[in-house]
Amino acid sequence: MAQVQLGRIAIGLDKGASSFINFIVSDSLPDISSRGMPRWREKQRNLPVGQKVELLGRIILETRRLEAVKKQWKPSATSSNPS
Amino acid sequence: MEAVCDVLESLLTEGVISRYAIGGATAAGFHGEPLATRDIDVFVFLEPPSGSLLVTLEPLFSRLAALGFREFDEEGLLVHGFPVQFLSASPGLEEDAVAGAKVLEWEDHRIRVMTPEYLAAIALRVGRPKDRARLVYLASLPSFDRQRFAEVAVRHGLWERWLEWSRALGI
Repeated sequence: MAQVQLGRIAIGLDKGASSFINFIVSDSLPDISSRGMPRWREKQRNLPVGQKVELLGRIILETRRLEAVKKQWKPSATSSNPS
Repeated sequence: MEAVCDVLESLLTEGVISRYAIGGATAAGFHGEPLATRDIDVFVFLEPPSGSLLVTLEPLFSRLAALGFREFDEEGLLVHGFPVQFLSASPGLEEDAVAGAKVLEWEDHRIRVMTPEYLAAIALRVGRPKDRARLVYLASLPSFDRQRFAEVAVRHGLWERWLEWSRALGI
């Protein structure tokens, strides 16, 4: 409880201390990096080239797969959507 | 995707194309986190056939057909299952962008990718709504060199448009 109170005081004094506050009150690293970006995005920005090539390839194939789903979609017989 | 990179490099080595660079959303994804995109835009330098002033993609597609890539998916030729749009780099900005491409290497592979500054300049020139979003994304990258971008924009007559967009987009 002392840690939570310390965190609340720090917020009032300095907004820039928010990531530090997260570290104090939580055992795990914050989900948002100090630049306000989700950590998974920041991690992907810094992937080695080979892994980035692989990820780009998977994204292209998945985007095409989702497009195919959209093109082939038809309302089901039980759909109650009036439009 | 790695196999596509290898095909592009082999076309270069064989002299079918004299230069190439990946552009568009795929290239932007190399510099930041990968973006959703359905194909790979590849800008190429082609030499006109002897006796002609016209550039044609025919020798490129002939070679790709000989390698077994004959099927198209909308505008893209399927290369190892990936739609690749081959575009002849137009004189000026696109040719400069291809010439200034960054070479990325890993293991035994290599790929050439337009730099964020040239991608941003091309987005500025094309000017669609999605290009505005792409420009905001590129300008936010830690690797984005504003000085180099400014030089490119001035050189290609895009500085006034950049001032207008940067004010409107808050970048």
